[in-house]
Amino acid sequence: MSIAPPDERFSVDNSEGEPTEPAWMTWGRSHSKVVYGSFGVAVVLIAWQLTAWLGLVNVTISSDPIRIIRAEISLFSSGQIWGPLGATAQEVGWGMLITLVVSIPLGLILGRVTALYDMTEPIINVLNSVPYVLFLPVIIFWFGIGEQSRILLVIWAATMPLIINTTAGVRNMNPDYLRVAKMCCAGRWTFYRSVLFPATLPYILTGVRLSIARALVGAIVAEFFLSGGGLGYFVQTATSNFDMDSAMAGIFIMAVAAVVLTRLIGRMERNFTHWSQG
Amino acid sequence: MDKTVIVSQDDPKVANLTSSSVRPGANYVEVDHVSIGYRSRKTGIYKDAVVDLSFDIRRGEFVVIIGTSGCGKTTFLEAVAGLIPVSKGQIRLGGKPIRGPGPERSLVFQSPSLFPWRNVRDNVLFALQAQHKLNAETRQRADDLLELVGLQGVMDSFPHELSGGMKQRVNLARALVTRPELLLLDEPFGALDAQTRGVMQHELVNVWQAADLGEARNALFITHDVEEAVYLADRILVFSKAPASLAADIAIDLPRPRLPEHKRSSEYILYQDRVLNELYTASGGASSGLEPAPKGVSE
Repeated sequence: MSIAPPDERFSVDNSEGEPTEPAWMTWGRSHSKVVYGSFGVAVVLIAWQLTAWLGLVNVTISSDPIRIIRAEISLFSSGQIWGPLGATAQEVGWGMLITLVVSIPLGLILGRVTALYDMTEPIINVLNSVPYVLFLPVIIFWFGIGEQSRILLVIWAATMPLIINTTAGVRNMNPDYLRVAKMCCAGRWTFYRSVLFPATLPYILTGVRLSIARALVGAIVAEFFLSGGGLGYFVQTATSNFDMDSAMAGIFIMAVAAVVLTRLIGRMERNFTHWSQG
Repeated sequence: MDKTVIVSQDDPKVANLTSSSVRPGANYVEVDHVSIGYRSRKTGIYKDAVVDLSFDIRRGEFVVIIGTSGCGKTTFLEAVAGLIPVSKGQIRLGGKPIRGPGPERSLVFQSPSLFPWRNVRDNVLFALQAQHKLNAETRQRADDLLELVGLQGVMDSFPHELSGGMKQRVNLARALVTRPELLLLDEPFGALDAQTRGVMQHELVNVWQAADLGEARNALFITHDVEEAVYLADRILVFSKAPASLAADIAIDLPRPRLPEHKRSSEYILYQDRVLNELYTASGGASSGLEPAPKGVSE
């Protein structure tokens, strides 16, 4: 330790503990995923733009990033997009709200009561395996082509992953937690609220993440078939009118919404279940 | 039937706790021809874990049950806790048969079993919350207890940030916070390293002797460590190998307060040898692979 090596790189004073590095390097290290991800997106967008400029593709059919940005600006400044965006948000919002309120308690109970679990497991597996879009004609037949049918399809799409994940979480709970609750003479309500729900939360949030992804698909599919507004309907009409720029702009908005929602859940997972990674 | 849970600090009954060993007192736990068995879920074969066990525990006794691993002592403790039913006979607590867990009993689990989503303080408060006893006074008591077991600095930490010994301290504090009459301990220090184990034994003795905070007046402690048993107990019950029956009942007449350095004294060693011999006989000699040794039995 006391003998200084001749090479300059090794003669750094280490007495303070760790060596220093510039702030941007630290940032880059801890955000390397973001840096590389953004780089990948940028490469694709630039390539797309170049092929459009070089005339390799026909912009009226493929559009290009700059035209999409222009379309985006005009859609927002004219207020034309708020209607479809609001309609889709409403479908997904109501659908997810009902899904959460129904599926989480149901999943907790199914996980706890073995007889109920054994009874419902085959049904839930079948309902989860059959593509939910297949039920759309039946839903239309039963409930018409109004908003409630669209919300119903969202629920139909979103509910199964959440129930299945919640139930799996309950069944994987450390049995010691149950013994602690029993020894402490916890009542049923205390047990469900203060033990079972928090213990299962990591699974529930994973389920919610899957649910939201499927809810978005459900909403768009519903709008394709049950034309009546929404982003799906907007993109479909724009495409039919050869307005590729608006169609692509609509898809881009959907992509942003999906990413934001997924990130939001990811953040909740980190905040509420920091203990489960430890 | 005596159900007094709250005893003030200067109560003679509590002061009594610090005096030595077995003394005449009313029976508190009565174990009456108890057999416990379980049916294998897969094969459906019924197997006895405990057979025809009978003994009484008097008020104020610190009783240690010792037996080889897998002999059924944990099963018996779970039956006293009310987590599993007995197959035959009856376990009575203050004259009343045990039908399930009760607020007058607390269990210190073998693994700490803390809720990882709650911090240290909230883990202790859970016991109070579950029994609807959460108020300013009991919150203060929880803090005092955590301080007593040496956790004042980490009350806001989460279990995954704690060492094994610290987790067991929280486990102990959670069991004591509800002022149980009967404290059940299921090899609480079994998974700790030797040094931490020694410290924890000493602290348990301290908490027990202090008694003004932990008012558990009866303790039932399960272990397979002879040194630990002699150090802690007023009375040691030696269980035979599975299915367990009572092989020996040894009163440990050593004065309190007991200090760690006493463990090396000749009286302690004599007791340890005696318990070890009983254990050796009870577990069927060589078949268990257990040999008499000057101190401690390793797993």
